[in-house]
Amino acid sequence: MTIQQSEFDAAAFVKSQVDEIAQRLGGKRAIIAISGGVDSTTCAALAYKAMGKSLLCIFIDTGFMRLDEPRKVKSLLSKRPLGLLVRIVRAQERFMEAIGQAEDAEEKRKAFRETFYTILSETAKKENCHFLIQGTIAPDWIETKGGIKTQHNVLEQIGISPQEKYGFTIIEPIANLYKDQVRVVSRYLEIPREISERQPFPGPGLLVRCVGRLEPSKLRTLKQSTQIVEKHLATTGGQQFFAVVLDNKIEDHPAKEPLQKQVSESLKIQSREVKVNILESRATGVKGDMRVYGRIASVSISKEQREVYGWLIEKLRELQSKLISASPEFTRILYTIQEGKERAPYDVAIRAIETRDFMTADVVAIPWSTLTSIAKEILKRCPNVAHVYYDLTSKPPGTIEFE
Amino acid sequence: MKPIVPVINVKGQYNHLIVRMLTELGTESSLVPLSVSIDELEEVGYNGLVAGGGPQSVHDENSRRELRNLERLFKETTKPLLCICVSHQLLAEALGGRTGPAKKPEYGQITVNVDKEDEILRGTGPSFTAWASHNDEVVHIPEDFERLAHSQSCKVEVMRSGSRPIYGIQFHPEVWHTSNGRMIFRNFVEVVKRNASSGK
Repeated sequence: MTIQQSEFDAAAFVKSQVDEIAQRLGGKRAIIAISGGVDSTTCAALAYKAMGKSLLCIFIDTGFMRLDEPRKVKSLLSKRPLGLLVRIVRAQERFMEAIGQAEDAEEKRKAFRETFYTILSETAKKENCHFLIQGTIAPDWIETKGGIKTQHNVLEQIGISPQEKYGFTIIEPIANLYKDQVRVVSRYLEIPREISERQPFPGPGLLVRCVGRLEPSKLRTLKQSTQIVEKHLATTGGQQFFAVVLDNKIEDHPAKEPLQKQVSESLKIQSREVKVNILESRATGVKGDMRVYGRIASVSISKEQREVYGWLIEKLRELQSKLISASPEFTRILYTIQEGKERAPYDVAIRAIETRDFMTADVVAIPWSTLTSIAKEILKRCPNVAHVYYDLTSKPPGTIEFE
Repeated sequence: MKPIVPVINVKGQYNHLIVRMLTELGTESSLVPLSVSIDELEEVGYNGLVAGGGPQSVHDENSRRELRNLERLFKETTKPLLCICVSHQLLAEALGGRTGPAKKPEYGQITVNVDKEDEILRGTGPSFTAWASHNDEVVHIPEDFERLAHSQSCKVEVMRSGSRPIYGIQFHPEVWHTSNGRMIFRNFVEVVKRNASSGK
């Protein structure tokens, strides 16, 4: 599979893809599951150019969307020049049931994928669609081939025949593009800026930002925190910024003392002013091209020092590097911004990264005052949150998402 | 005529970025499998070769077996060769050097200190930010090799052969976050062009 590169000609790309789609479909009906993201919208726009009303656009409400998202997306896509008619398919209960008590990241992703494609194939059959159009892009299948995570839309590339299993043929018009190239195409197609410049959102949605087991109140906390984080970081947040919810559960771990010592040495503050905790939950990472499902450490500095240190990005970045370098099973370092009720069941982590192609990413140096404002608002709105953290981990060694 | 520089797909997630980089720099590039032979490369008229990173470890028996063909290519090729990450480690082992588990493994941002700019690091000195991701490292460079750069945690970040245009880089010059990555590839493409025009 070759990748489209350099001197990227959006006009030529659009023409060739529209021709190819029209040719492959030969007048038959196709279905596309859109999410409001730039990948699926770009594919829908391309497919609509090729086949018009023979294209069925559905929005599967998995329950893992952000607050009010389904309605907003439907409205945005119906406007000119897109004029796409979107049908919302409600499936929240089916997804909740399928995920069940699963805790492991890969297990959750796989359960999501099965349910997603089953619903899609049911709808496709009912509507007599033989083709599924999908917005898979290059990083999606590169990372799955390397075993780093199961992208929910990468069936064929990993050897699962959609024709056999689900009854349709998959077409992926933008599979050879990187994200920045997709945006070029979407601007060319005059897709609204809210979509073309929208930050990426994972296929399984907030499911993979709900670290560990899924619970309705945990998911609700995540949706509210997400709204707050997105609001505050809209201008300073980098290419991707979001919230993650974790269980407020720590465990006794031999790395605790040595990590505490390292933080103290690294930041040159007394060890009694530092507290490191090892969380029970796990988060994904990528080290030396291998997927690692590793430990999370939270670093808390005394409140007085916190104000002084506020945001010394270089020091904290170095710290993250040193801690992970010394402890191979760790893939995530979280820095405490503010505490809520000690025994509250959940923690929230704020994540903000800057990147070109999402293959490597650096942490954004958000002003301390902004982080504390966000933390305050989250703690006010969600009394079931015990800590609000800022994720200090670059990619590598972490992945952008936690699961 | 555009120089032809295939990239051996060592199965790392950044290998495609190498192809992207080389293509943007005006060469004809694509991924070729680990099993590619010198004959196949000569048939397409290759002018240079790049071997990317991957999840293998040169100390693991299965990995080493998987990379056996690559090792052979490193010894046989007469064209300019650039080896990245695990390929850089394999290069060391193939030509008489030694690797081992990294004392301080590097993930993410590092500072590369240039000892000698030479051809490949021209314009990148005295130091620059790079992105690394490795669990092993080169401990002894092969006998006729020269070290060109190091970092605080890793002694051999860049090395080159004294007798052939062969370079090894431990970090990832092909990723966005390596500040002089493009310059390094541009330098390599220059070497490839010069080599091709001198009839080799």
